[in-house]
Amino acid sequence: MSGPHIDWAALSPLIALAAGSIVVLLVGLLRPRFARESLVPLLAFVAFAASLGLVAWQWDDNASIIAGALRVDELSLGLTGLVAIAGMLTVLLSWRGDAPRESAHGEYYAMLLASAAGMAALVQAQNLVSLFLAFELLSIPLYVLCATELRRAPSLESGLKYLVVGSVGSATLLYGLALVYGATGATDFGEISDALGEGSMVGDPLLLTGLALSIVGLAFKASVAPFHQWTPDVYEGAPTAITAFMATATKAAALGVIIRFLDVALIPAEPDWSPVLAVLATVTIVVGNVGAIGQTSIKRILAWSGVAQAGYMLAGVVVASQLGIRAVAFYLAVYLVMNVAAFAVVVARARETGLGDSIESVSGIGATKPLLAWPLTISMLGLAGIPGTAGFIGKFALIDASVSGDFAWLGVVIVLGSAVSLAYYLRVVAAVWMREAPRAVPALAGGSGDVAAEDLPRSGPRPAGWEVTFVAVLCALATIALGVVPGPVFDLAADAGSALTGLF
Amino acid sequence: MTTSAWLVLALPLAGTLTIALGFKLWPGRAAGWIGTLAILASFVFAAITFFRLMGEDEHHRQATSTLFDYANTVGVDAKVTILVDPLSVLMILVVTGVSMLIHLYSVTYMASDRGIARYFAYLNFFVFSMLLLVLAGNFFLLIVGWAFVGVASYLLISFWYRRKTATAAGVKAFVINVVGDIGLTLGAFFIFKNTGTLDYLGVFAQAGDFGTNDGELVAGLVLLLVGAFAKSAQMPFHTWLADAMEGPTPVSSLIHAATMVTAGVYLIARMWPLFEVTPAAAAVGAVVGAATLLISATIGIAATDIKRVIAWSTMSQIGYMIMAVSSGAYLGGMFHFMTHAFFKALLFMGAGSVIGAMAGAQTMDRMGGFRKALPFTFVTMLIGGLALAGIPPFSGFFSKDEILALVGERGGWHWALYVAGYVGAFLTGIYTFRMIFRVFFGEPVTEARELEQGHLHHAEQHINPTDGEVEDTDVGFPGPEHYIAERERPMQIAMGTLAILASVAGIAYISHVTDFLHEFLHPTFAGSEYFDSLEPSVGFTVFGWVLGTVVGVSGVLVAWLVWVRRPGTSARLQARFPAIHRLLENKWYFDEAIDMVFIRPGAWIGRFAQQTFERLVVNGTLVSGTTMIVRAGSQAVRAAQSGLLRSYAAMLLLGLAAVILYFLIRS
Repeated sequence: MSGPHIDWAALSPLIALAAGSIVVLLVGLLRPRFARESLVPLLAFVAFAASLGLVAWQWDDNASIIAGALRVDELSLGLTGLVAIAGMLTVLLSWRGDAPRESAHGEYYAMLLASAAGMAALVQAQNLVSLFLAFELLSIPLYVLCATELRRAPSLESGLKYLVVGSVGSATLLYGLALVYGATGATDFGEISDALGEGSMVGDPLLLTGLALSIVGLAFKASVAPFHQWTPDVYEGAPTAITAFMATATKAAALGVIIRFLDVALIPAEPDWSPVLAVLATVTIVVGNVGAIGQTSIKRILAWSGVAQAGYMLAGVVVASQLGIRAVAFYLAVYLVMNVAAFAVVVARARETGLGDSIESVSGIGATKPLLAWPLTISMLGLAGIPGTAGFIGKFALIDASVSGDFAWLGVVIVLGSAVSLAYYLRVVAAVWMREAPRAVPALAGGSGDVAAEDLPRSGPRPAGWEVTFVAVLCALATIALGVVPGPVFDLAADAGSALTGLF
Repeated sequence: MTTSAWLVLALPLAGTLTIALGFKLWPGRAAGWIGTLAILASFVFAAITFFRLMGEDEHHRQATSTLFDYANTVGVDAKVTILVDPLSVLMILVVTGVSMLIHLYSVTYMASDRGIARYFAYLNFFVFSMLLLVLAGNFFLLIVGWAFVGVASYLLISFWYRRKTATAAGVKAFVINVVGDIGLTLGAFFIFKNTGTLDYLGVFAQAGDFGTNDGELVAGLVLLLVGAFAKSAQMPFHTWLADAMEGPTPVSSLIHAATMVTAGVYLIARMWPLFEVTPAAAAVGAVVGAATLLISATIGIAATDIKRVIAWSTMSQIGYMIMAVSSGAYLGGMFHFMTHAFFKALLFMGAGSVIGAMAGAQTMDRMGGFRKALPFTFVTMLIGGLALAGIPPFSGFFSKDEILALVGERGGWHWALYVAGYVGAFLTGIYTFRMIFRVFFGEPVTEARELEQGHLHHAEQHINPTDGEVEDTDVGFPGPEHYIAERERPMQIAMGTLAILASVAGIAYISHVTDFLHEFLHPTFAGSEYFDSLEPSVGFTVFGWVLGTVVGVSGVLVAWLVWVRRPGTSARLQARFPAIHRLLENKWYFDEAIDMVFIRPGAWIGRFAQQTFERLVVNGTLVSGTTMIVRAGSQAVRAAQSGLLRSYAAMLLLGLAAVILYFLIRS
């Protein structure tokens, strides 16, 4: 008996990540400081870059591989590429951070790569089993990564919280998948779709319960309200580089799998799930934007804004059209650069001031640190969707998709949500440019004010490191560039949209 | 051909970014030289574009080029496209050429201002915006350039941002311009709605499909005219232009000669295929142009601030152009645009030199007898004045007469415009030479006498010429030094070049003698109903020349009689006809009328709304309602965010239950 045929070339982006994880883990065992502190991050970076390169190599290839377990097409490749880019930027942000030093370099980067491999597999998954496997491969390293700042209690708390709540989410998803399998008798997305298409399933309670449970499980990962509550706590506690990775790459993976699961496997049941998703999107936009008002920690603001942004992107899924998928894919790309720019500034200021991620840490940097002030400003304006930035084009595409998909009211909700969002985005901008810098910078201070003394970060103020500023400036430039010349990335997103040939 | 046109556009932008990003690095006048060089290079590429265009044969002198696709979604295809044809090439040549000279002039004029780098960054941006506006190949880019020009004018008018009057003038200009932007955008939407494309050429190709005076097209074009009137300071949107004199003098020169105010003229000329099928909209433009040219000329006679006299004259001259391009006299309009750019830039530069000699004072009541003290300024301003007044053989004579001859040739009710044009020409002679006689003739004032001894008067205290407020010369105010063309080489070069151009530019088109401009512009206006067919006979042309000369010279004579021969006449006239004088001095009460018709009722409604409607409905229900809801929501969300795992799990299950219930109930 021989195993299924394996198309190694199509699998290569995923292999690069997984193999990189193993290599990094092994190199991390070497004794010299140089090997652990420089070689390991470098290798991790190379692994992500290799994966990105292989994505580009495989771009036009559309294939179902490993007996249909995974699907390689422009959508999954594009999202894998986004994960790889997010990984590269995360490596740069982590390089001289506390987390890898406290938890051991090899393990830290190995888990980062393993989680990325999970994300790549998740967006390619075309089978309930591979979907769940990839889901867990993504989640478990992330639980650990959240807790890697071992000497900071909030980090540990965030890891534990994520683990517990995440397990509930995983269990929900697994239960849902099992019921879907039970109702249709198939694990392959195509076969599920065929079974549903016969029509006998309409109104089957078993299927509908399974549908509900699996949507909730996936929505949980994408931090869709009301399953979002872990997001602010976990984002705030986790090391900032990991938060950036979670905010961007996890979101891309989760939305990718939602798109594929709903728009391929469950497309015959579209009239059933699209109203639910539309309501969830609305709730998410409202809750995310309302929750972000009045926060004092930038990471928490970004977490809540991430919830709201997930709602915007869900609107592109609701319409179940190629236009919608294109809009989501494009938005994920611009969301990545806008968010990483902001997180890079948070990393830099946390290192420089010792004020943690409080909004105080960026007060008045407009006068002294233009290379951090401008990226943060551009990022905030971009997230708010101001014309001239990538966020505007992204939101425009989403609204365009929802209007053409007969969900015009959802477009209105997006606009209203964006209006409310200015309340907190502009607060950050105002702090940057209009407030005085805090006069005496305390050598040691807590993250968000109410942390006990023993939770304080170990290291006092120190230089941010050129790589962090570089990431911030690069992402800010990309935000502007994609706002002025969106064409190339928009075309890639259009390719991703047309990958799902069953849609219009 | 299009490559060099893209470079024309790119260089001023590069100049802006270089100056703005490195503003701390550029010492002294370096920023000025960078800005000047950027525009000079842009001018060189404009010239290259011109020669390439001439190298093509007649039928290929129209090219579009797309840099990239900005947004291509369902139904809308917004591309970054430029259109290179004779009309846009004429515009970019004049815009870059005159702007370059204004930059050169500014290098010394603004040398002692601490904000010199900011100044040149804005100035380059202004030129870039204007070039974007004229090179745009579709409505999308036109709107972007249009809005950029508005922003740039705001930044430059309120350049001395610590002068209250300057910031107020900037705000006024910006608000009126935004009204115009709305008109333009809505107008473009009307046209897009009916043609389904944003590209000029695509729209023009469909112009024939519209019936004569098609309702929606008339609406769209009238809205476009609102945009054109606001940008070109035509009635009733003209009030910002005189206040815009608060900016530094070279800025006035730039706004009036090369950029901004001619945008409306360009827009109407560019849209000729649409205006020719909707005579109703074209008539609106022609009548408003004629009215503006008359009214602002009368105000120019009463204004006492030297820069404002020139500002009112700009409005009047733009009125000629608007009237021309709306009446089918495209050639005359564009010709006058070109010559006006030369002599108006020159006049403002001369005024800047005089203001320098007066240590910042601008009122003509305190000026006089500068002829000997400022010989260079006197000669160049005299040339500018002769061109403006339409005295042969200076350039303004030929272009103005070309407009009037073509308008007269149109016949019908356009005869009224013809007459208005000659009345305006008479008034132009009066106000132009009133200014020149009052500044350069008569008894020399103290400043002029000191200058004759070689001492440039220097004010102890700088006074805002508008409201007498004392200024310090720190950043945000004019610099402490003053400059006059007699002593500064760059100012002399700029003014000398313009003086030559203002004298001889008329040869570009002399009816029945030279035909260059007509032939050059022909490809743009091929197929026009009027461009070729309006051909005044030799007799009518010569009649126009004689009439124009007589009218212009008699205007100058009247000015001479009133302000030189019998200096008291003007005061006596004021005493005899106090009502007319008050009317003119108060600029026909336009500000007051706008205040009465729009601002007061607006403010009254606003107050009513604020005191009753807003307090009860808006504040009471909507705002506090919304903020209350948002705040309560925020509180609820944050209360739910307890940090306790069990509550999170509970919430997750609750949400899950809701979703399952929905599915089950639905099935």
